[in-house]
Amino acid sequence: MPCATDDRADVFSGLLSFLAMTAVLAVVLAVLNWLPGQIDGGLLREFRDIEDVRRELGMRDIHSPAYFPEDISWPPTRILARTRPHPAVVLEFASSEGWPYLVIVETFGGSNKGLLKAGMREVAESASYPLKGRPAVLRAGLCGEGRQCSEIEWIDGDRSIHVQLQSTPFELIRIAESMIR
Amino acid sequence: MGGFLDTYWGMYLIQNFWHSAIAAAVADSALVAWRIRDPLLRQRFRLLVIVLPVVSYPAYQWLNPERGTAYFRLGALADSMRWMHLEVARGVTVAALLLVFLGLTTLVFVIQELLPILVHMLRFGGGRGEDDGGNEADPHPEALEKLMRATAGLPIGKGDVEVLVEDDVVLYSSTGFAPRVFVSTGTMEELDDDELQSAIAHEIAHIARSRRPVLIFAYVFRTLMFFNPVAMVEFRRVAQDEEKICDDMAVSMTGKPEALARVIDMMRPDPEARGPEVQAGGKMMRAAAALESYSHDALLRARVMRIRDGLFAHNERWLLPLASTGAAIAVLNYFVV
Repeated sequence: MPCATDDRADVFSGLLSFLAMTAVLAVVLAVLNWLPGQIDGGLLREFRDIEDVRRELGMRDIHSPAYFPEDISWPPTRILARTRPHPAVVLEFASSEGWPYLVIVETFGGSNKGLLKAGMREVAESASYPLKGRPAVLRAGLCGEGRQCSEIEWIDGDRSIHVQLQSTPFELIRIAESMIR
Repeated sequence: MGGFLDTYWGMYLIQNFWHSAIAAAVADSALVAWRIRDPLLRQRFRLLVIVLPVVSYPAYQWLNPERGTAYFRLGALADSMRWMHLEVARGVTVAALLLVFLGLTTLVFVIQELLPILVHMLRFGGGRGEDDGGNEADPHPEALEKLMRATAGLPIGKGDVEVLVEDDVVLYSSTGFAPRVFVSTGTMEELDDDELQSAIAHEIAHIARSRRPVLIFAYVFRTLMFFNPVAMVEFRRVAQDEEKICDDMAVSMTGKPEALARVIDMMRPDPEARGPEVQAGGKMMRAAAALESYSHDALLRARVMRIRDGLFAHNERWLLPLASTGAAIAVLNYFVV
């Protein structure tokens, strides 16, 4: 006659089996996630430096700022790039406290949706701005955790560029202008 | 294509498919790990597979709006877009193939499920339902006596069983406000007393189950995932479990499992018998009909074997397994974008 203790033992041994099977499934999913990168090196991934992006993805012409605010400097603290579905590069510059202070997203022939870490939480002002003769859209407001931030985006030839800075628009414009040759 | 996949509905479509597949794998693992054989409990696990993926993407996005960004994807357990953007041939991506596959599933849903329902509703409106055939003649008194013997001891009133005077073997039930069991005189001639009692008990079980419309609930969610082949397969398994639940209820009413097994055995399709439209049809139609027939036969055989092997003990402790399965599905799928 089965007793309560046998029932509980069955349930817990079943739980162990189930957890083991779920762990195997998680490993299978992780392998399935890793495989496409081995088939196609153009999927979004992290790079150590810009030269690796130029060499491995053949993206020779990546715009980068010549001017930086006091708190940050070259090289970027994080670089993401891809060629599929369309080429894009993300350059992230962290503040001394570690959060992304400056983010530059360049996309070639497609949307930058999904490449922006977080949009502005609150847009206080939005205006058109002529950036060295190129029509740009400038926004100022608040980003995550209530920090003041501003962003600007424009199209330059075959690419669209989006720059977000956790600071005033004045610094942002100086950075953006330094990216235009 | 890439533009559509970046939209809310594009991501919903792709992730709904992946989340269903993962939910199905987790639920099946749970059924094996805990050795759950009670069809009533198995059905509850399958309902998780049908219900959770419908709401998972919106729920996850509400919890974390950044879940769709490249940053989350880089750290996710699995990023479906890494496969979707792969090219299998010049200009043909995995995403395109998947969308074609989902489109075919939608077509199957429309042809096999939606159209028949619409045709049925147009034909019979809000009426009782199927054309019950039969003729105006009264059934033979012997048939009525047999029916009374068969229904004695079953939880059904005299007026709840309707006799159809026809030679074909017909037995079905209608649910709703005035549920009834319909049985033809041909059925009563074909089955002995115990078999007839078991068959009617099975239909009574369907009527009783319809009072808690689990199948309707499952079908609403299945319909919301009309494009999803995993939902289609899982719903069929829910329906198969429903038949087994009604088998169990029938045997508990009659105490005669072998009689029910014989009835189900009689219902197995004759592989040689094909309808005129199939015989007149081409090779593809005959192959499809043969596959359907084989599949149906396999299900009936499984039910017969299950009854003859002895009904399985009901699992008493199901809450922890079910909760663990739901939690595992929810957590895993959150990290599958």
